[in-house]
Amino acid sequence: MNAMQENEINDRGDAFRPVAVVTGVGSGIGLAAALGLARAGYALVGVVRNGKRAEETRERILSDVPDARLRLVAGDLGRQREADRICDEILSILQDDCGGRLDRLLYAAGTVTSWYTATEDDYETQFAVNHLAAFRMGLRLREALSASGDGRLLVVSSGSHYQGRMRWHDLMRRRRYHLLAAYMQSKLANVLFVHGFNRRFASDRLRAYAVDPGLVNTDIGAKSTSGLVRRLWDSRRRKGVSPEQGAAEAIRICLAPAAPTGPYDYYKDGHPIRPSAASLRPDAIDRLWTVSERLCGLEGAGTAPDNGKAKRGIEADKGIEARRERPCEAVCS
Amino acid sequence: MRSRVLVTGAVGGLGKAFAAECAARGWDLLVTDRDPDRLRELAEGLRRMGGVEVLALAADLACPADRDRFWQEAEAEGVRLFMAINVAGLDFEGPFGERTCEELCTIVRVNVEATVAMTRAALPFRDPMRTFRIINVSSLAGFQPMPVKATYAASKRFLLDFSIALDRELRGSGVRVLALCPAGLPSNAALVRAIEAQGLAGRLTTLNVGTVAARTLDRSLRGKTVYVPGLGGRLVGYMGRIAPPSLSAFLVGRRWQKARAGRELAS
Repeated sequence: MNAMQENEINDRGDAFRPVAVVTGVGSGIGLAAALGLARAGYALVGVVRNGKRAEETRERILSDVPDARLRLVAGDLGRQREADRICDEILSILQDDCGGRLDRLLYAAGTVTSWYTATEDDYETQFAVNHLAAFRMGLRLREALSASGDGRLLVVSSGSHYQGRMRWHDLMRRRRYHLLAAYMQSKLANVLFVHGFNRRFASDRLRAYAVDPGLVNTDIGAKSTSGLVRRLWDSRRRKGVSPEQGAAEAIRICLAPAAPTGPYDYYKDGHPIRPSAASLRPDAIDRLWTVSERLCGLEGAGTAPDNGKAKRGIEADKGIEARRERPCEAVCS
Repeated sequence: MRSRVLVTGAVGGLGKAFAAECAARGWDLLVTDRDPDRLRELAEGLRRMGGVEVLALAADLACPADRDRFWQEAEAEGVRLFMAINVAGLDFEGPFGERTCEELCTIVRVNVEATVAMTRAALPFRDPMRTFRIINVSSLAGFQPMPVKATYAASKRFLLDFSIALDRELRGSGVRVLALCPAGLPSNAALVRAIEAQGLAGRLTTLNVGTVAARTLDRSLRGKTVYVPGLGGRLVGYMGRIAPPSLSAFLVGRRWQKARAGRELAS
């Protein structure tokens, strides 16, 4: 591996390598997706938890795809300051190596914690890692995605979001914590974020998707959990599909020649399917957006939803809402 | 200037939970811990989360000069307090003979000396219009002598008796004191592993740190003097109070020996 290939993800020789940022690239769905994208010729910027993980991941990907173009950024996405630094580093890599353009952002980092634990900012860990960091990256890398001309933001959500409830009066679930309830809420937050993103920014050059990987056999349930949860997860994960299959949907959306435009932005097994009713409520979408902006310190980053670009998925679901919005649009334009 | 809540040891798991709970209740905060960087990070998160005013002053509470500087800075900021939560505390695990003098004295300095000093120094800062509430974090370890944790358990015993006596003494002047006596709280990865190691007993006495913080504040506002969270904890606490100290020490010591033998077998 020569220095050129290691340090530059896009040299002048192959100017048309598309660029993808993948988080949670150290294991599970993130790693499988990164391998899939690398095989398809994507240049990758991966985000991993720490330096040791970075080395393993680099070896793992290069042993599989020897000509992969890969840069890795290490850091704790749960910590706001770190997440911000990671975004800065990614932006500077994109600036240096590919003119500030980003084609795909796949947010596949996720965690489960048995007990209530808080990050350095005093935010609940699952909420911070699974949702807030995705929100921050989506907003901070949005310009780069737009610059691509066909930018796609993918967030790995989960079928468990159907059971998710936003507990607005205690979003961090500090007072009464249950790991599954907190996990499902964070995955519902993923879908709400995707809807909020599309309401504000979706265009023919930029679009966000929530991906449902199904039940996947990864070690997500065995990271910071108790023995009991780990055993339960161990027995349950065996029924799950492999990480490769879990990543298939995300890879498919990334590689589709034209950006998929279904009635919904929630994809599973190759089809857009209807996400939970809770994830389609405009008031919940905007409320989470406002809260997340405040918690990330990103106030004013696209606060007002642009009704002209309102997401079709939401209009289809809220027919009355949509009819009410259209005349307004005519007045505005 | 609104009066606020002092939280010491705010960067640790229980301290963070108390700080977040106070912020969620809309209470302004004065937080302190040793590490200025992490304290700043915490303060920023609390401001964003609760929309409250957060003053962060780093200090090593084991050091008298640092404590003086802390209160001078607080005075310069015009701080008024209606609650003080003394969370700062530490333990160095292991048998007495394997710990250094310095380590053992640090346990006493932080757990005992710093708590007494901070409680005393906080009194002049109380908001005269409100009941001043003090919460001292003792421990389930404070209910019985504990071989292998002798210094720590005794320091927590000190806090328990100190709080109960102080509550009675100062009640008439509008000061209430509550001693919180939790079992191990799984607030970081190392503690989660330690609780795992205790097996079922550990899991049953284990409580969510956020729940404990919220309930402690409720108990304090209701004027309780001692709060032992959880049914398992209450049982242990009750037994610790009725059993003769020598018997408790014997039982605890035997459990440690067994755990130790188990660990040596495993390794």
